[in-house]
Amino acid sequence: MAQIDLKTLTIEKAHKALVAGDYTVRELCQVYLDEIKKRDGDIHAYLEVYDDVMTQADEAQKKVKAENMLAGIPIAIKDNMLVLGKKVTSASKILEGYVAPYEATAVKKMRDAGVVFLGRVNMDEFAMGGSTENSAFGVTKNPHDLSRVAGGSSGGSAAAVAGDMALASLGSDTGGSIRQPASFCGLVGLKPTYGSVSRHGLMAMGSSLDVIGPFAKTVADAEILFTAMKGKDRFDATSIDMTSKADSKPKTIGVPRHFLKGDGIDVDVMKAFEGAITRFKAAGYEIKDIELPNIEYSLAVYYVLMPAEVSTNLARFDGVKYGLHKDGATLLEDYLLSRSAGFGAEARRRIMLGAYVLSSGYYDAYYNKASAVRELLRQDFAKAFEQVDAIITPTTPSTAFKIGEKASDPVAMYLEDIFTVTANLVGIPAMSVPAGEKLVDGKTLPIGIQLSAAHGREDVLFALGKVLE
Amino acid sequence: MISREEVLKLAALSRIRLSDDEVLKMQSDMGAILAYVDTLKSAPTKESGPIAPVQRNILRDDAHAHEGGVFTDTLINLAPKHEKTADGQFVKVKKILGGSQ
Repeated sequence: MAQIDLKTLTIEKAHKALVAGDYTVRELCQVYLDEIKKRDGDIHAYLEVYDDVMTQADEAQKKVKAENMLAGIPIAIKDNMLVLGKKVTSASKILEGYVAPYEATAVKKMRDAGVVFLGRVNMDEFAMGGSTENSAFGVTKNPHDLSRVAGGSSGGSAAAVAGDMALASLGSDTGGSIRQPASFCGLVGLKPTYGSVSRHGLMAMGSSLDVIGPFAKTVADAEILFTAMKGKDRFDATSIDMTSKADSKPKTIGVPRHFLKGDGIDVDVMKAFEGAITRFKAAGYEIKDIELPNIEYSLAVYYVLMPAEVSTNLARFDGVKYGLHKDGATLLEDYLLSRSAGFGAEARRRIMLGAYVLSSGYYDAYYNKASAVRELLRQDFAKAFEQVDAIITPTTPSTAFKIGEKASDPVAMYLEDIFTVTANLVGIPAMSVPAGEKLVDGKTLPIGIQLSAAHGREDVLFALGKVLE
Repeated sequence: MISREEVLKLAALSRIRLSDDEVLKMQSDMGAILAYVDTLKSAPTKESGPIAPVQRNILRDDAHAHEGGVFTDTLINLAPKHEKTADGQFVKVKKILGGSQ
């Protein structure tokens, strides 16, 4: 068997090697399983490594063909997507013992393409958080510095790939949950257009915001995964077929300078950001200042609409239909005991916040107001994309923070999402791409920049992302 | 700051039981979050009541998505309490209608 260098391995390279017969799917998967055994004790990306990896590998081997890019590619799955017959918990105690009775459409598409699922990876409980510190099963550490978070909520998905314990992974993004951990871990993370990837089998957090997307080491790899996952699905009424609009190459990139003032952004993050702009200029792109007049309200809008949807979606967990059951004297007490024992602090906070903004007397001031501002944001972006093909910002205001640093201050944690939530509110695609590094305490921490484009224009993100590689 | 009574009411609506310490913590956390989202008040929306987002209905055929009963065993078995009787399979819950009838 040829030597496999996991550090530099990509889907494209592994595919070529598998087709050429340099190694088998089994051998490739074994190398990853060995790496997981060696490193995951420290990193804690995986909640479960599946026991049927080799059986899957044998199935995948039959699909290895020149035209089938994903056959035999070992990936990790965020613990909020259903893999048929496997445990799935959304990193919550409330789904104790739950086994997926069906398969998520995105997962099914991966399986049909011959992808091998190594296991399910850690996350903030029900995808609520920016650090995986809200997992009921312990925090995931950043492979670049074990004293720091990998980001969240898809922290396990990011750490598994950054730690060479999976070649790629799937995550979900409701307000930045793919892009922020991708930025913290030095990966490419794509939040696709809302509806482009079916949500069937993805545990709902904010149904008008959620989308499944890939983590990968290169833009090309992210593109391969996205292309294989996308498409209309009869099980998700909000899913869409994206007719290719790739009739024009991107030429202009907008910068919302007015939103990047103030001292909240790390100096090195700004340096990496300006560096990326310089590279785009050098590559012949026109850089334009743009105004997004209501963008400063995005985070507030998000923290009204998202909890409202959370409190609705999480009402289904009642200790009766599935998952954890705590027995009380009455049915009401069963609910109270099961939900109180099953949900962690952040889940409770958002459920109750959602109940608050939806309650009569506050509904107009919060929910309706936020919905109206969301419409304004949509209009702002529609106008912006008449002038520019893409918008560039940092992905996050700073690099990966220390474990525990923000755990006790929910608002400080929420501010992590300042640059990412807007794409979810508006439904546009956005991607974090590595754009620099910062040296802190002898450790090199990655910095990401975020590119966003109009609905259905992932092709713009891929074209621009490749300029930075 | 949001009052203790309000937190208790929201907890009851949310079917979550909180300890006294948790109520206090929730008061301060929710207070801080609401103070932040209050910035929305200055957003320049027109005061014309609720705004309907531009959306359209997606309907599907009124037909069976799959053969009846194929998922019943799997789904019922996922319920923490379930029972199989001569009449069929059931998720078991506590009685909610009054005492002795």
